[in-house]
Amino acid sequence: MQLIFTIKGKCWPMSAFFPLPTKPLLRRFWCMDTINKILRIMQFTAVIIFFAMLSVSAKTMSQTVTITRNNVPLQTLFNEINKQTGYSFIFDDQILKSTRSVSLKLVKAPLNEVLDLAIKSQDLDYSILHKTIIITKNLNPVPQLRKDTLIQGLVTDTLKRGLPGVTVFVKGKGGIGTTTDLNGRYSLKIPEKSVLVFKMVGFVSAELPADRPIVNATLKEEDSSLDEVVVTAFGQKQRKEAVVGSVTTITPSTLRVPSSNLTTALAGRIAGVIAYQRTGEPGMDDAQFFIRGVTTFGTGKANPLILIDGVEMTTGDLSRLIVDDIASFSIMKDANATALYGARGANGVILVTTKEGQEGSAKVQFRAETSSSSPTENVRFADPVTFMKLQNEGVRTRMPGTRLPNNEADIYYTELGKDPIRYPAIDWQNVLLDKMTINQRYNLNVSGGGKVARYYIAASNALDNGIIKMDKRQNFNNNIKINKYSLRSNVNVNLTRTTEAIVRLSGTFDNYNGPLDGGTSLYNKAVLANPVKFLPFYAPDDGNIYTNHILFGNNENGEYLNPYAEMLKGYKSQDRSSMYVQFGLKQNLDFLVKGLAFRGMYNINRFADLTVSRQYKPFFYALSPLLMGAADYKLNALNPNGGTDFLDYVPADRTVTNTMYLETALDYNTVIKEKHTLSALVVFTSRENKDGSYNDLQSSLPQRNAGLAGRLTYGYDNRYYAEANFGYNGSERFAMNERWGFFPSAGVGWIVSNEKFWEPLRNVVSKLKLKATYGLVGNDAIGEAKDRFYYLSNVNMNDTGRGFTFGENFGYNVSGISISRYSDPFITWEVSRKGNFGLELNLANSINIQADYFTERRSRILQTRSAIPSTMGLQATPKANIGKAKGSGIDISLDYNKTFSSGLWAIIRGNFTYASSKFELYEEPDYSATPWRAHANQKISQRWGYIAERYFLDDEEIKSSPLQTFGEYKPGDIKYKDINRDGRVDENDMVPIGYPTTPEITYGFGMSLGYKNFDINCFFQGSALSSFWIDPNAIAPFANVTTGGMKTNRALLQVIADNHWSEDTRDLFAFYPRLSPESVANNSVSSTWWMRNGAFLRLKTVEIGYNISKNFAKKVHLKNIRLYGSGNNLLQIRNFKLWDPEQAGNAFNYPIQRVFNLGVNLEF
Amino acid sequence: MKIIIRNCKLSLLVLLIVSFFGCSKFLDVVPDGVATLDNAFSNRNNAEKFLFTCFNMMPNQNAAFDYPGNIGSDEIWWDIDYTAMNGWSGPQIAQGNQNITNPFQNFWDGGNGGKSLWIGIRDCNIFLENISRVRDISEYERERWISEVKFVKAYLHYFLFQLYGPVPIIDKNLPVNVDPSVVRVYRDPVDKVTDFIVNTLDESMTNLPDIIDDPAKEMGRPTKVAAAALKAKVLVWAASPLLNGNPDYANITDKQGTKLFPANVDPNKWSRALTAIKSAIELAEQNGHKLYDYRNPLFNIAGEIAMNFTLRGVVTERATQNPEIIFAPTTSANTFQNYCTPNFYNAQVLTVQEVSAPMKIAEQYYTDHGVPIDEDPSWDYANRFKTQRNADATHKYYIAAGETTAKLNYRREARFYAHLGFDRGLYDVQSQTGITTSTVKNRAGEAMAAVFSAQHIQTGYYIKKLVSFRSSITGSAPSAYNYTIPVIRLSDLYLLYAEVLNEVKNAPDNEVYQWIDKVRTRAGLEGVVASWNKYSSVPGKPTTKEGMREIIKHERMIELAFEGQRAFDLRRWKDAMKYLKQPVEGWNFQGKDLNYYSLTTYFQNRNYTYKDYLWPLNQNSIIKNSSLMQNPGW
Repeated sequence: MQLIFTIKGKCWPMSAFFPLPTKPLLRRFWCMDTINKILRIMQFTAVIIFFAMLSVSAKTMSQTVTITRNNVPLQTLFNEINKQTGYSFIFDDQILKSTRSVSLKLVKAPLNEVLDLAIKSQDLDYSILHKTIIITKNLNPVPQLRKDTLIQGLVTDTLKRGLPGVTVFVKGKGGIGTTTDLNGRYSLKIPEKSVLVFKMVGFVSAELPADRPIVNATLKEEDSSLDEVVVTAFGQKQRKEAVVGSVTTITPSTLRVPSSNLTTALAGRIAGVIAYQRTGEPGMDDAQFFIRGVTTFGTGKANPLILIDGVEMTTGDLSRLIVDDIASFSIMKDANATALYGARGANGVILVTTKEGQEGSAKVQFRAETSSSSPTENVRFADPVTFMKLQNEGVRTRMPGTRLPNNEADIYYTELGKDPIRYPAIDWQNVLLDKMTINQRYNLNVSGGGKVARYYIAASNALDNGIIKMDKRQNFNNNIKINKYSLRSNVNVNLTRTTEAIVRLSGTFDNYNGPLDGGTSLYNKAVLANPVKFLPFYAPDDGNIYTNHILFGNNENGEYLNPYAEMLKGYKSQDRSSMYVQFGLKQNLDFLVKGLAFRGMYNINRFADLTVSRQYKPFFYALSPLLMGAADYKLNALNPNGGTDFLDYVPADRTVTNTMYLETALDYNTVIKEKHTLSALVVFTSRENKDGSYNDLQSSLPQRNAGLAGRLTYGYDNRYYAEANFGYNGSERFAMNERWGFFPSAGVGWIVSNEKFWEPLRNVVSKLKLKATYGLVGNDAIGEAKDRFYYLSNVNMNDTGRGFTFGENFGYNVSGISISRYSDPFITWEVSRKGNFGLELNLANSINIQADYFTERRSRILQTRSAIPSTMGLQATPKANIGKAKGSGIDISLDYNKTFSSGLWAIIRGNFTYASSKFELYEEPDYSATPWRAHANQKISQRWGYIAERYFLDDEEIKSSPLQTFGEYKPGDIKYKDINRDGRVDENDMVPIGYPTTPEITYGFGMSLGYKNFDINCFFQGSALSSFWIDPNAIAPFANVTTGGMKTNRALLQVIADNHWSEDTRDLFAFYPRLSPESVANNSVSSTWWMRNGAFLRLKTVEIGYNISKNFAKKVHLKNIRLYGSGNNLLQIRNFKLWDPEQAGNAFNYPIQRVFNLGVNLEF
Repeated sequence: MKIIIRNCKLSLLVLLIVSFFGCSKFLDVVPDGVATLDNAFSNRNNAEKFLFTCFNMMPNQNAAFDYPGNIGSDEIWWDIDYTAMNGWSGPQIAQGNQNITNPFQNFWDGGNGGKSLWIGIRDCNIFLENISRVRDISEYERERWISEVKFVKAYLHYFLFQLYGPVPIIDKNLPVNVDPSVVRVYRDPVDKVTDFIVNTLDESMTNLPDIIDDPAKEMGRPTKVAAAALKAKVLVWAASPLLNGNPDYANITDKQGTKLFPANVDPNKWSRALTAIKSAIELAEQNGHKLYDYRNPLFNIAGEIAMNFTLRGVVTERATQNPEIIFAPTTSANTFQNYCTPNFYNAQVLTVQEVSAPMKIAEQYYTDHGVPIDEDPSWDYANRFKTQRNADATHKYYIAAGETTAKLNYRREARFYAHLGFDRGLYDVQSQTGITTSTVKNRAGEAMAAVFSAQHIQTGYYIKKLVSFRSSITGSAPSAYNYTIPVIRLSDLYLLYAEVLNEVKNAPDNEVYQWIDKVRTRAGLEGVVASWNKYSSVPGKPTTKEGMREIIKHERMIELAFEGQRAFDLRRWKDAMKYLKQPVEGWNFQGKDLNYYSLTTYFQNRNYTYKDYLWPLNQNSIIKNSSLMQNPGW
């Protein structure tokens, strides 16, 4: 017995959900009726549950029939149906006599379908009443127009894989149709001389004449076709042909990386995006990204506007987006593309839309991934004995005659290693951190819908673990554990034939549990603790047998940093939740004017963050001095009164923000005389953001924007295109007169390849398009958040620090008035003039090239007035729209797509972005005497510093060299060049050094290869033309960095131990200067000594996938099973050897992670 | 039908337009009532706040470490073993670390212990521009406030003038968003600055009150006398050798060719100062100012102790009890006072005994004959570092009976015992019921010795002058009597008068002697001429202009010790190079018992050169404002 229930034509064996006894012996104990009943109840329940889950579904059938019979009388058929369904038939024998036999080949067809086929074609009708089917004569017989023929066939994709779920119907007669089965096969009875239409989401529809009994179809995937659709501003879909602006739309799946942070996938994937990631700490690992580089030097916003489903969101929201939920991902780069965003789009726009349901049966996709993550590389540290020796050297060489921190006996015994309790040598990183951690991610989404409503719902869960060890003696967990949940439900409802409502609900919830001050901080503490002073904790001695707290180690008065105690003393839990609710309405206004449509959207976001820390104060113990001859040890309590063995509560910030967004638009499209296409769009938007975490009046005021934008496009004969846009935007930040900004832009496009004269070339160059745009874009997010209202002064009317006291008993105190910002009603938008010249090329139908050259001139950049002398007496330095900058660059993307006859297919993609920007006008002091200090014509992220020559040879040289003004220096310290030759090395000798700190070139290339069920793809990503500086203060060994009032000694990098100036070697070009127990001011100024090339090329991802054969998938009732393994950040080619240059100057940051990932993707 | 459609379209458009223009309101997020500078002058209360804001910017003479007259010169030494303290501004200057990249006590740009006085000047100008808008204020009060703010404005300019020499005069504020070329002001020449300050003070004098009517609320606010006295001090500063024809600066011109310093000595400047002092003194005396004299109606105390209290009270008594005070804006001296207090307390107190006087300051005081210790043949100068047991009844109010201390501490003038505390010296305070006397015990291992490295005085001489006799020296923590170190007091004016008269006259005469003798008499000493005649090895010294100048300077350094005057006087006289290069010496605080009495050098030869006479400007200021000129030598 096979029980089956159906949801929208999909067949689910009951056993897939409720395992049944299969052995005949066992079965006997089941009364069939009971089983049927139970199963029906279960079936019903299951259906209810499923319906509840799917929320919407079309008509369903509870019974299906599988029949493969040739030429059988109807009565035989009825018996068969009765057997399979339990339905009984009532009919007049006479009626049946006049019927002919039928041939049916149906698998799990719905009952009514079978009946229709078998009965309705024979002048009969039927009705169903309480499981009884009554057959009657059809009183109004439908005259048969033509003889029907049965057409069968196979629908495949370009790789010859069967496509399930393709809708097949007769053109012009939507009522006659079916969908393909799991193998892509279909059969359909159709009238003669019909044309079949094959339609499926994501594929280009095909129409084939049904002139043979077997009609096979091959559907092309949409995004590989030339007729791509590009998602442009406000989610408008434009044919790629018609777009004249610079917009890149990428397939969301290329952004899939084994990380729960989407921003880490941006670098090198998209032409025009410059991105880099500085740290790998879970939760803090957002990459920084810019579109076409940074062309402003204001303190305001420089990164792009991020819009998710049309609504402005933060980088954090983008990073938490699930790739599987993304329908389209567009980057808008030039003025024309971003013009509609007017005042918000100066730094480019990232537009993401999430998936919507498509009409059709429920599609379920489930993805599970588990990944291991470990640092790409570990910085090497010197061993504790070397640490002791070199710490002594540092003191000896800097402060001769001072007591050495480690006495010779200690070093000797530590080196001997026979008494690790008294002479410890601790590898703190090993004590605190695991080498690797395992993370998991699960995504589930279900989509589908009927005529009235469509849905897309998704749920995901990611579990990221840190690499912090735990101690079993404690009952609370202090490892990093981030549990991220997200839910999304997008539902489209057709309210009327012309009205569509959209409701989008989504929420992301993070539960963070981790060490008190985060992973990076603990990681830092591990490299700051002294390795030889004490053990992390001591085993209880005789006096502490009954002590019930951990005996943490320490030294002297207990003021040393013991990271183990820091790690165990408490934990932080943080709950963040973001909720988005969006309601949209689309009204087709064809009844007013053909081609006119209205749409509106209202969106509310809520974000809340709640952080709580709990901690105790650890008890510290030190080893008592050695007793003569005693082998045992004794512990001294260092803070018997200072410690606590109970948890205490530490309050923390709570954040709540609320954002509202409203958008209404009128859209008009028309085609005049076939050749002229015309469209117009007017959009009105308003936005309000409130933040509850500010604590002064001006910051607490809501942030608001409003704007009106319009677009007019014209196309002629698929050859010439023109477009004009404007944005008219208001921002609450500016004074009345400056509040509104007008930002127009225009562009033209010419598809040369559609011209007649191109015909002969079309085989070689199948497409050539030229385009150019120019326009203005604004930026109102200038300056810091607290200084939003430049037109207002910020006056503290009750500044106790600025008051005074008079009176005999100092009794009459009046507080004062202070100003933290002077009003300037002229502060206004930062304006960018952008030009773009683009070229799109398709060669031999397989190579696509898109190249853009862009220029940008930014003016009115808000700048701190650096030339205002103190004599003005201002309490706050004013700012003004003074600065100017210019930038230019190119971005190119190229892809090659080929399927070979053998079934092998290959895709090669590459992209390259070069963006460079310079200061044009920068208010600064008059540097005519020292022109190298001036900013004009220097790169925007240029760094200034001293030219380091080498180390000083001896005291003689120091005496004869120009005076260096940063602090005491000796032979073996860095000697700088006196640029202006005034005999002193000071600020006036700083020159621009190195490349900019933001890379000017970002590129990526990758390849996907597939054969049969296997596919492999790899992706390289690199950046070039950037410099970074090793932070000499951050690597200074032995240095005491005050950490919560505790004494620390920074760990010694192996490279410093191996290669430093010493009085014996006197290597003038060693990696590290004369050692010192502290950071040396003379050596830590910005200079070429620490400058390194930041260029690198890394193998970012490799993925190998295997699609399990359809047959097997079918057996387990799945549509598709894909298993894949991938690796992230696998190898790197670079000049700099000590650590990953992407994390820049500080070796002690939480390293970027290498991830190995295994995943399975199931589709139902 | 068409009409309906058109209407529909129209209404849609109208809807769009309406919602759009609704936006102008939508963007007005700033509610009424957000504070702006206008609010500061909306009523009397707020205007009063602004008035006090102006006073707030006056340099605080009570800041031990951050006032240019205190630590940083040669009068007060700090606990150099307290490493954190060494980074503070005064100690950094004292250790010779003044620089142009980040100057200490930067009163130009603010920072490193200083605050930008230009901010104060701008505040004053804002006040003067806007005070007319306040309605609920009487004309009398408005005029008085204007005068007070002018006084502050003059004072701030004067302070900058003292530190930096020629400075830009900021009489009117420039708008905030003015072109950069306009804000690049030049420094104004010395004479112009002097005139500006004097004129502003003259203007302020018209409506300042003669005396403070309501001391409970207003004690410390400037009076007409204060303005007159300040004017006198400004003119003396301009007449003194540092700026009056100083050959070091004679040829200095700024970037537009202006001579910033007067090239030649102008004796008329002394005469102008003389007039000003004369009228200041007259005005002061008319309004009841006179030299302070301790009186206690409650109980009888010995004359020595009363004298001791008189000599301490000139500084530590509040203006209501101390008619000598002419201007003392009421900022608390408590922190400084505690730093000076010996640790008499029965617990470790972190804020006490951190500053002391170097040995040379102890040597500076006269013998009991009122002449310098090296001029009094009856005083055993050669053996002054030896010790002696106190068996002498004459010292019973000064040195603990039967105890041994340095010979230097015997047979000194009353001000020595009033100004300084020393090992085995007696320390008196007054309580409700009588006098509490304690003995200072400073030798290693004793009550007031170094408890740990960061709490002790190094030199062995406590600054008793700055500890009020009303403060408590018992219990577990100090309870300081709150007072303010005066900016100007009457004996300062008397001594200035003597100094200026001596400069104006060809040779000193009775008029000169009269003013200095007033101060000496109050300290229990005979007049200059008598003292030198009777006791000095150079009896004719008061008869010559040079000799008298030296005597007046010496008298000034004793009388005004630890009041933030010496550092300025030494610079004004161009004597700083001579004094500030001297090593810092004291008793050996690590010595047990009488080993304590060995002369120990704590800081050798500070490198003080002619450039140090004027404060350096931050080199960034010069870069920002290319019209400015750095001070000579920097």
